Amino acid sequence: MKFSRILVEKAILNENATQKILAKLSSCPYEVVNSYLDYFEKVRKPYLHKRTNLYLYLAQKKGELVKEAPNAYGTRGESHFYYYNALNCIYECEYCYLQGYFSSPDIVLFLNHEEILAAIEERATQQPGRIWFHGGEFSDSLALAHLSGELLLFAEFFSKRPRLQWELRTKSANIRPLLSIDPTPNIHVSFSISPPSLARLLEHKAAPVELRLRAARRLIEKNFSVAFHCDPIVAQPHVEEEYRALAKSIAEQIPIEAIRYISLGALRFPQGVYDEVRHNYPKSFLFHQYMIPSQDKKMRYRKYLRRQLLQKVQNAFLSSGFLPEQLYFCMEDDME
Amino acid sequence: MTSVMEATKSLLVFSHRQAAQVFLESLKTEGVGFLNGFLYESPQAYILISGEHPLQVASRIGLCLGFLNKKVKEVLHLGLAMGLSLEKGGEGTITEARTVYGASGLLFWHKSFTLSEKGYDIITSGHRVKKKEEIEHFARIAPLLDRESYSLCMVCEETHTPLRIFKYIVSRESEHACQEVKSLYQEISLKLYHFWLYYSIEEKPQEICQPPGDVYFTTSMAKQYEEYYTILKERDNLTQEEIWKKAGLEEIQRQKLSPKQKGKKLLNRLFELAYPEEYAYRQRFVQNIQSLVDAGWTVDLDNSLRQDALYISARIKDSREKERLLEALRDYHEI
Ligand code: SF4
Repeated sequence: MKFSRILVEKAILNENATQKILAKLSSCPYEVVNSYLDYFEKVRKPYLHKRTNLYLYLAQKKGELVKEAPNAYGTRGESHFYYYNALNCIYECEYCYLQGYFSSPDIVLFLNHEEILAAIEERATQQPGRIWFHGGEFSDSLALAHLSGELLLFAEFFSKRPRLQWELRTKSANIRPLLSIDPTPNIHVSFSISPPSLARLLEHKAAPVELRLRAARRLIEKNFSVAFHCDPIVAQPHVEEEYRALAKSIAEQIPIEAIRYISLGALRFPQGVYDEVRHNYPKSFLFHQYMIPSQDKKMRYRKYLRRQLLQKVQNAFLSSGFLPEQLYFCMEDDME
Repeated sequence: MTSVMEATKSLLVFSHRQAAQVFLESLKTEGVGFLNGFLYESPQAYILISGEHPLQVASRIGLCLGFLNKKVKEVLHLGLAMGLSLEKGGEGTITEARTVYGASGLLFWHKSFTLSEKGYDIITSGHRVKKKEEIEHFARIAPLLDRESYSLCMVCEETHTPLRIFKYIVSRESEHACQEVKSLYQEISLKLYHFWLYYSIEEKPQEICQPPGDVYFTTSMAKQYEEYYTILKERDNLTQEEIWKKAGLEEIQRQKLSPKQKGKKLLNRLFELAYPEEYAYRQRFVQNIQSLVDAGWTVDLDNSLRQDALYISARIKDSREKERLLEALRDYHEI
């Protein structure tokens, strides 16, 4: 990974975490600025400039540090929040909703980790029962974890608070920063996966699916709670065979009962993201099937098609020995 | 389509007359209409001296495109830009602008324009940039600085005129830049001329082949055409001839219809080829609805079936009608 420019906020220049990152990226010169907000998203930087002209901002997050997740996010009946530790991603998935979310692909790492944890603590005190906190809503949770260096601190925090569930979502195989952690049952890692042939077409620069599965196996061996997201599922002629092969390959490598859940979600986009994806990848395989704005204003396949698609993938997993209670549909309120 | 056939010449835009000098002398130019004095025509191209103040550029290019009324096939700006970061500056070379950003004072304008996949990004400043801090500030956004590109982008976007920008890069030492440019104008003008004439500006490959002139598309139809054409090309590996043949273009052309009606017919066929399942689905749904209409119901439905609600009204007379209605609603719910 190569950044063309690093901009560091003056207030955190001398912090330990900042200096460690700058040392690791010493081949890239850095500049000191007052606030990342003076530059990030100030102009509309095209998403695909990330291939040739990607900036890294080291900054502090002010204002809202923890945000409530939308309904139908994660497991039902429990509260879900995500926290801001980074914005944007070094990978380039063609369907990534971040391309319509921010008007710049540049990466921001927020290094005020203690303040983020304090905000999590505060949220937790306002809410009874199990609460989920997700990293990786605005970035990949592990792709840059070796740089950002917050995982140990977060693990220590969550391991002392069993009521709070911590989930990291990734398409990387960058699990080394996790291996020194002694996992407690409330620390969860989930891998987003697709059939390898699709991942190769759509998930540029992300770790190959085979490596993600190997990483998942290692974490399970280390007693981590591991889950998978088959999301987005893209309509294509061989969907059932492709997912059957994927399910088989998971079952061969990982004890099925050790997998916490597999979520299934059909391709969907908020309207603005859909337009942006079409603009960035006009020839993409993603658009081979017709999509319409659904009741929730997201662009989706028609319901009959979504139902067929999800059922096929569900069958693929069930026929490979996965249990019905391990599978759930994500962001499909009226599908079950 | 006549306007398309007339649009055969490029409009070359220069901020300064000195930079256009070699063009004006070599291309046998004549002043054009009441814009004589800053708009010239030669057999090969139109030439506009736009000035460099953003407002002046916007008004002159706007006037000029309005006056020439679609006779311009593309705008090519051949200008100067200051290299802000030395390693990327490439002084003395000519480069294409990739994305154009804008700023007034130290504040950036959010909107940007991407013109090309390759080249350097450029930032247009509303004022003359002299101070070191300002240069450093702008260099964080783009490696090149000028005063006119943003206005050109805005007007060309509004008028749907293709635009490409090429910049001769001068050094960043602002205090020397003006001097340097003045003494080098003759040379720069010659370099720009040779660049245009010889290396020139490779034609951008046209990926989507437009149908012949007797089939007309409005802007939104052209967008749909692009969508369907791309799918058939990418997914089904069809060539342009195969696409047109499958869509029955020749047959459509023979029909006694207006160019726009022909365009609609062609689009319908292409839609059916691009999304066969969706097409069949719509047919089925429309048939279902038709049975309600035949029974005297009022059904309000848009063609694309891309609306949130379906408006149906009538009095239910018997259980058969109720069944029909429920069937249609079930069908609609599947959307
Ligand atoms: S890994 Fe996730 S965040 Fe990164 S590009 Fe892919 S979809 Fe976006």
